[in-house]
Amino acid sequence: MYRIVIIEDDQEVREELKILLYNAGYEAITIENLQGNIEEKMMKQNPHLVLLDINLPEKNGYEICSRIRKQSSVPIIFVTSRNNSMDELNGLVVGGDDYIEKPYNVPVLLARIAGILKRVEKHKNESSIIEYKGIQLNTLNGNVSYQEKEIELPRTEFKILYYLFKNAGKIIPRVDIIEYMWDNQMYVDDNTLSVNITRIREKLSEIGVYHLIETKRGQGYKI
Amino acid sequence: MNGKEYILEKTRYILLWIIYHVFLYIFLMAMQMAPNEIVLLILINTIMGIGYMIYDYQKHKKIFTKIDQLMDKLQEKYLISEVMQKPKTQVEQYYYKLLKEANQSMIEEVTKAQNAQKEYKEYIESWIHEIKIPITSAMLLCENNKSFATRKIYIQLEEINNFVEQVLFFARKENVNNDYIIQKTSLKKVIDSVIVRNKQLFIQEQIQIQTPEKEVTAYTDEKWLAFIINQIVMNCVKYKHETKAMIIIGIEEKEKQIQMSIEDNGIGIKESEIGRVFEKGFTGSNGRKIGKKSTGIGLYLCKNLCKKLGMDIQIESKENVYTKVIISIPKSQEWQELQKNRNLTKF
Repeated sequence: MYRIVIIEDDQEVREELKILLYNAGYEAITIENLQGNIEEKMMKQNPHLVLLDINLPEKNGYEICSRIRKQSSVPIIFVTSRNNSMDELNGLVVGGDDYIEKPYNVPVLLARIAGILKRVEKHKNESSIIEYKGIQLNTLNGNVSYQEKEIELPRTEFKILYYLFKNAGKIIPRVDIIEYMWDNQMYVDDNTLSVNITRIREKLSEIGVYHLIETKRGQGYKI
Repeated sequence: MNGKEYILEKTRYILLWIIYHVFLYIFLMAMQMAPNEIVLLILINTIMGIGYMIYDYQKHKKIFTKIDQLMDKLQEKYLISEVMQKPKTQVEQYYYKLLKEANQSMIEEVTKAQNAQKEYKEYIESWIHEIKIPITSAMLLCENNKSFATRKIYIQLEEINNFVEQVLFFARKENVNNDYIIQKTSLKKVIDSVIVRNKQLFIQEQIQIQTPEKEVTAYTDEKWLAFIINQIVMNCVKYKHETKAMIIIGIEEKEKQIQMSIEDNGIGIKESEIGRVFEKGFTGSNGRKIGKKSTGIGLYLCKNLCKKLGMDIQIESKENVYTKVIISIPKSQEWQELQKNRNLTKF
């Protein structure tokens, strides 16, 4: 599990961010006392990534960033409500890896975190195949296979199925699926989702998978 | 000042001069002086008088042209008394003194106003940074506790955030020059970021969106462009028909520029009003129709920022059918020219 350290002075934001990262599958550590030697406190946690606010009570984020850079190359994402171009530039100059404005769009934040972690730890490849009930999804080529039979799904349908697989066993509200699709730049609406689910079911039946996706009336879908 | 004006101004002296010489003539005649001698005397006097007037006219003319030239070169015209030469005559010096005093108090007022404005602007900017923190934490709360209600709250928060951004960009629009970084920007990425940011609103309002498939890059500032696109799509949502709303975003590469079009199938704009939609504070009949949410600032800001970034923005519409906004981004070559001009004005 990746460890992320949050350096942020607003307590509410800090706590919620911690919950958010935890829900997204990260180990999130906050630094409660922002007095004194912050970079040392942070380095003790041995993080994979740091989320760093710029406006901090004692030293500002740039200063901390450049101090961290002297001893470590841990990825740093600046998260701030300041948003003029100079701030952004400053952030990159002192060695930040990315810069996100508050209030941030959560999927964007998570995507950037994932992107940077992936870049840094290239060798630890995430498995490209997900399996559930003997059905395999191959995220590299968009294929679905079951008992030697294989079929290719279009991008939209594959993404829907992928999301269902990721949340296997749970009831997933339709709106969650729609939001997930929008986060991935596929702007489907309620009707299109229904159509896509029907198509997925048809295609799955072609490779011998029947009744995988259950419709929970008024609630959503479940596999 | 021209010759005619000068003579008109001196009429009184000329009349006085004539009367004086008539009396002189009568007086000298009475003294039994020969008429030729009197005429000669008057002639000499006349020549000297005209000579003086020409000299006086030239002198004034020279002073005035000099001041005019100085004035032309001066950027802050109200500083003229600081740079002009001190005059020599009594009357002129008196006016000069008055002018100087008037300007002094003017400069004080201007500085006061400038400082007040600067202070206010700085306050607004810092206020915006402050307000963004609670907005962020409220958004995170919604995200961590997804439910029917928090989704609705999230949309409201996003709207608050949009208004806050509008304030920020309004406060900054006067010195855009200091706050942009032109770089190669993926237009698709900017468009997608705007849409994803407002996804909850679009999903709830059941708006269909089409975005360009092709990847096109342009030289522009990502943040400002995103702000402009956001204002426009927010208008698309505001002025939509009840059902089957749609937004189509397209990118077209022209010879000298890249055109981004944002088209909706909403209530459109009246032909008589379309010329005024970029005016500050203009809300028109549509603004009254939808009631509360129209401020007449969004498109005004868009136009303003586009101009500063060297882009062009145009709008076309047919009432009840569609509205289409076209943003033209110049290709790199023209950018260089603009950049050059910007540097010239700086120094």
